Amino acid sequence: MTTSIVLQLIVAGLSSGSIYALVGLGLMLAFKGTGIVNFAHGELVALGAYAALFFSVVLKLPYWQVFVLTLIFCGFVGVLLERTLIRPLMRAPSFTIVVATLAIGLMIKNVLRLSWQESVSTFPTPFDELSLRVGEISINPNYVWIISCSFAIMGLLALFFRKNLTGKAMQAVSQNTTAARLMGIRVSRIFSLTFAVSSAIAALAGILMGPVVGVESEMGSVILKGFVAAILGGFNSLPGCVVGGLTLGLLETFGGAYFGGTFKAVTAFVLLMFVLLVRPHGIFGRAEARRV
Amino acid sequence: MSDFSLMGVSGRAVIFGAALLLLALALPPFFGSYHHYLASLALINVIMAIGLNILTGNAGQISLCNSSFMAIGAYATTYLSVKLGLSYWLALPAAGVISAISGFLLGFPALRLRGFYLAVVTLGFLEVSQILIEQLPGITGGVRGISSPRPALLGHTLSSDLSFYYVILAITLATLWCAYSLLRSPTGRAFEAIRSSEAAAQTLAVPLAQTKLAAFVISAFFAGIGGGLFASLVGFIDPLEFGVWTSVRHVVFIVVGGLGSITGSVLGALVLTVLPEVLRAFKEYQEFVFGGLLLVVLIVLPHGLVSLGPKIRARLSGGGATKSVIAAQRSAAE
Repeated sequence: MTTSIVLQLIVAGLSSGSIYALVGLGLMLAFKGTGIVNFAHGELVALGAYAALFFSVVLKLPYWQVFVLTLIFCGFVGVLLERTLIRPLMRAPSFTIVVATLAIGLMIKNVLRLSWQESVSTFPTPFDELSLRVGEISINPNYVWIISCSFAIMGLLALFFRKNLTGKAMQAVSQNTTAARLMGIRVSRIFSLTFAVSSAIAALAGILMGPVVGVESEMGSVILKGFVAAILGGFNSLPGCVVGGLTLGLLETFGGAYFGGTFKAVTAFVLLMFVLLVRPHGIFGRAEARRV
Repeated sequence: MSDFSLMGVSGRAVIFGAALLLLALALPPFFGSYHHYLASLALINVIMAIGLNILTGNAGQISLCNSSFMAIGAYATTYLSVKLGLSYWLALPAAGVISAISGFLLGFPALRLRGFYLAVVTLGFLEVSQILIEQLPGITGGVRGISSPRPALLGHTLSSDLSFYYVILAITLATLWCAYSLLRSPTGRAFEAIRSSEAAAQTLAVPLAQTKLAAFVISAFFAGIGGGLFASLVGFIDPLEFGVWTSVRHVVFIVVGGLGSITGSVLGALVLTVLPEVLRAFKEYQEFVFGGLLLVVLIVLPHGLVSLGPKIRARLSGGGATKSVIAAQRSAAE
């Protein structure tokens, strides 16, 4: 195996890994902010991809407008979902939450499949035509775009939680809802905002994934990879989730190249079991005391 | 209320059950082959629902991979009877045991997990089982599927749907009896205990790990038997049959019927197998409708269809309504 192939694998692995990190980040955000583990998150990724496909193929908008419009649209869908379906479930037992969000996902998936019957399943990006060469190695510019875009968003999010007042309010709500309410934070608004951001991040993952893997209604299954990324990071740390996603992406890509497709396909599950059994609080997380 | 009771079941329920059984035995010859097929499918779904309900409704463990155990049962039955030439009547229980062993293997790491972590792990297991079916074409026929013949009984192949229906009915009844006895046994009580509170159960000397493992094993065994029957009923199996949609459908059966209730499992599986066939014009929207139904039931009727009967009865009888509803819900949860 030559260096050039190794480098190409690294770029491909980082690119799929940063998508997993994005999906995990969205899941984690919704969970930390509202206590809901959203099993419909994968379908929100698919929704983003389909929305981008619609804006791009039917309305023939340029990529940048598609990009912004999709994020806004999916953010609104997130708010709508939170206000109508998720809010009544917030205090429900975990079984109800899991099953209800699965049901929501099932409905979104079915709507997407039925409403897009055309055979077109990809949309153009401005990077399709470019060719990127580093020395003798040619790199898919879409991968570079995915990696840089993901990292930019993660950086922005980190800044948002550290510096911005609303971001701090979101953190306060996730730590202690009652205390946050007593401090004058409008908790209900923060819940909606959390879901808006979480859905927009899902949509971003969809926009980035779409042109590379193709837009189809089964895209939602990426949620499992997102879970693995987030759980690797302990389900409560932003950098942990990023490292988790990248680790998974690299392991999958290299494992697939050396040992074949089956290995690639079971990597996520094996990694998940390993982490949950050996370090259930994640690579960077600390064990939490549990109230009985 | 009737005065007599059988094995702790009220006289009225016994009479009702016996009447239903008579109908299930006597009516089918007057219907066509399609109806026999549909009824068999409904009964297999009853077996699947009962198994899942023991794990989820009674023992409180979320599982999104019931269809994986179904797949293991289906492929094991087919492999043992076709490739190894074992008699179907040995292959089917053997498939159940193989499925139960897989349930044990999954249950073992799952012991340490709760709530949504368990949901994620079972979802992952489902994905892996799908991939393995595709990657092991020597055993499973891969994505192209494999055909699974009908068994023979006393020298006759059960090629007609009616004869196979009676076999499935018998096995379903056996399943019902097993589940019923199980839930009244100390193990069954232990399931309820760990669902209500693991900590409290432990202080009462309920062995947590053993009990959870038992729930996984039993549930996987039933799913395996159901899968084996499914394979030879349909005659052809491929990985698409055992995807996440099938698992979610089993969850819908027990949530709509009533969590933790055998009557609920039966009711949910029967109604939700037959109803989509009646409304076949909406087949395209089936997943959408099931999803919507699931949401509505979770929010409006969290104890499922079985809680509906007592509610109506209480309203009709007027006074003391709330009391009898509470009592009925308690008995429905048994």
